[in-house]
Amino acid sequence: MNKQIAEVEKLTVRIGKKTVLNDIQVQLQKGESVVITGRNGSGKSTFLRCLAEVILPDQGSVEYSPEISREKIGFISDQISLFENFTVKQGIDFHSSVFRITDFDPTLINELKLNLNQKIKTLSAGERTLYHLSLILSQKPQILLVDEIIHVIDPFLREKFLEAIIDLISQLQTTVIMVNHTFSEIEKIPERVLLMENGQFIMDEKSEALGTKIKKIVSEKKIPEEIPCIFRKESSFYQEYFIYPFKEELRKKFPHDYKDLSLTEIIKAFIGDQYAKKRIP
Amino acid sequence: MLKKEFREVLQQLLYFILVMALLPLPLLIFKIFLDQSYFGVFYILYHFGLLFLALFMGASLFSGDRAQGGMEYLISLPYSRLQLAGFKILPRLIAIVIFYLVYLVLYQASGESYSIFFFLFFTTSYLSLFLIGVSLSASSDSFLVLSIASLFSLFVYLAFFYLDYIAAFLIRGVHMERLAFEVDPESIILGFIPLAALSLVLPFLVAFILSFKKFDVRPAKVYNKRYLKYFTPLIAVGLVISFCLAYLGTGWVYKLYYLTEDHKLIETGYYSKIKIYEKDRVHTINYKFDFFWPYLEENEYVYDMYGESVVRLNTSDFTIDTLVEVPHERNVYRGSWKYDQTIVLLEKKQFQPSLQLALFDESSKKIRKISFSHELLKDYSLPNIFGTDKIDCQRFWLICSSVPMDNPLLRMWEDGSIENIGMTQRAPCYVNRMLITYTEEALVISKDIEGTFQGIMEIPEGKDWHFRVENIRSNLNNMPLKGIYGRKWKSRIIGRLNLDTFEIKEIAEKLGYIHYIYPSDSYFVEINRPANLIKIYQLKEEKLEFLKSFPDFDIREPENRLEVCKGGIIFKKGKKIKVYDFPDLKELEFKKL
Repeated sequence: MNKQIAEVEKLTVRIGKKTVLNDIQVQLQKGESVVITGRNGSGKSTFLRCLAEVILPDQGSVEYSPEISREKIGFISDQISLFENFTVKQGIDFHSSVFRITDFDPTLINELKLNLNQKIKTLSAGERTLYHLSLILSQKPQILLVDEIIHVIDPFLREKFLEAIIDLISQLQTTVIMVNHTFSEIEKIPERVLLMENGQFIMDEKSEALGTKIKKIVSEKKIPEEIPCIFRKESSFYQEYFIYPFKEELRKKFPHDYKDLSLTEIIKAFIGDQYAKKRIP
Repeated sequence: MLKKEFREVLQQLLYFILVMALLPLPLLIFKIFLDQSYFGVFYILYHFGLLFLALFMGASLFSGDRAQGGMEYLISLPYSRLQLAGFKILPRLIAIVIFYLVYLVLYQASGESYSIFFFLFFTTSYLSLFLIGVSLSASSDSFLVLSIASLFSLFVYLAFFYLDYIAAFLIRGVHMERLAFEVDPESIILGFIPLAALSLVLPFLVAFILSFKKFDVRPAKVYNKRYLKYFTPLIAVGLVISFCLAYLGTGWVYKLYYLTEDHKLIETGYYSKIKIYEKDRVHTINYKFDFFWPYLEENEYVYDMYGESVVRLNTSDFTIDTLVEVPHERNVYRGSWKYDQTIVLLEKKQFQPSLQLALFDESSKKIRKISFSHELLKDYSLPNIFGTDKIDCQRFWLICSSVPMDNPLLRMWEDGSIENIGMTQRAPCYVNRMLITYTEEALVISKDIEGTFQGIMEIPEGKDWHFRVENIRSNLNNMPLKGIYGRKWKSRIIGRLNLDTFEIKEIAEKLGYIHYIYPSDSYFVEINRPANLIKIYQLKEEKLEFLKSFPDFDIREPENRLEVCKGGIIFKKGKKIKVYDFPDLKELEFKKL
């Protein structure tokens, strides 16, 4: 069993009268890769910012194990926040001095062929993301927090970005926590999926277990109510039923073609379920 | 991190210096400032520049990071919020202090002479604006909003500060119309002003520190709500403390005491009511002066010159009359003296070759004015009337300057003519119709003979002496004296000039002061500083007659004061007042003192 590196206790964050995170409890393990997903506005980015201590909770806490100092937490926000008036070189020097980095690794920057005297504000979104990642990689982070950023990067840079993350996990056993909606390109990364809704985690599953726990039935007819369906997708000719939690006994009791789902489809189903619930008063 | 902040501040300061250096040029070219040098315009603009700098340095604490989208990155750095605030504030505070020191140097170079009140006001505004700016710097993303909010807060802050003092003065029953414009620099109130100002600006700073500890990237309203949660009670406490300090400050005003010949003790303070203590009662006169300090006592009356007026307090029926009111005019030097029934006021505009005497007749209450013009009067500094007399039914007044060796003595006749009666090395006196002056060779005694002062006696050893009747300087009545007392120049030897024989006799060698009490008594107050001892003597002919000693009184303590008045002597030790009568030095008891 992996070592626990962070414990989130009763985490609550409010913005005005709205409770964005509501009494969250979760543990994070060393070296695990976690994807947090959920509807827009469900609180994913706020949770990630709480882990990065960029947002401080109104109640509750995020407790890191003693070996995790703030210097070992890397955070790439969806805002790609950096000091834009700095040149690439100034940004590296500043980051290195603040995080006490003595051996900055320029590989990624070299691959991007960035001019060191170029202002950060002149970099494209993808370049800035990779540049920021290169800064963080030099920190040798124990925890890497990545907000919804992948969709702004072109496929070439995206591949580099993901390769760097996979290397990080394998080399340093870094815990990677990503907020994401699309899984097509990162299906191999997450070991654990957290689904967030209304500021709470409503699902916390290992991704390999998730494939066995959710199945799909495509049928022209209505399926029996005894089959636990979390979401139904209707079309003119047939209906798709997403079954959760799926148990093998269901195959014998209610014979259907129980189809396996990709991670992307599973997440879509869960998010679709939340939208469906929201529509029903 | 500090390096980044210092670099940012230096860049901002370079712009500031450049603007400050160039701004006077168009103003001079387009003659917006007349008769001003480049330095003169620069110096004037520097005041405004400093206030802008304070506002900018405070309110723009995070503006640079916000403008370049680095706020989230900034607070994700491995520093606590307070460390971040410290990194931000330190270089800006250093800049603020350095530019204030530059201001002090410029002030010295400018040769201006501001009142301490202006200095306090400007310094308080400057530092407060910076601290208020810092305090609000995290409240909005817009520098414009922050600037307006900071300026508004400063305005409210100053208003609160002023209202605190007004409330304190009002509760103490002080006249408001003269307040703030005539603060006595010596007054201890000024000591409280920085404390009261601090107690009002600290809530801004403490609220910032407490709320910034939990600063994050949530919308500003979340932070502002927290800020207000801390600020509201803190400013309430600050207001109470500031009011208490203002109240203490206004109460801790210096009190002056005067003992009349018939043993009535007059207590006056800075904008306080006048109290007259008698043995078994206290009378309060609800009439407030910034200070009422009798310069003259005659019968039941004591006189003071208050602002532009001569006022007279009747110590028997406790009424106050304003005898003479002079219209206000700038740069007019005024003094007030009295002889017989006449109060004489002297008015002189600086650098004008003219002078005016206003003669107020106390019985008819009429004023007669005599104007004098002479080139000698042009540079005559702070004229004083030191004598008056009548010859052939025509009155004259003797005028000396407060710097007698630079200006001649003048005799001014009732008909408007002026007569130069020569120079003196030390302050002259006019006694027994004799003029006593000093040359480098001798003490010279002159008398009016056929319309001119002519020397009748030169006393060579007198050149080292200085005989004075300064305590009757406001009383110009010519009371005949047998002798006058004085001190050997630059020594502790006291002596007497016999006005019949013109002999000078040394009496004693002691550190202290001679007090002449009109009409004929003189006392000597010996000050023994190492022993904290005061000894009182009466000067009788050519002897010092010891009266009483007062141990344990350190005259160097600012709270201690010793007053020799017509009726006796007053020891003020802290807030304790002890009063002793003349000539017995018997302690006088006053009810409720």
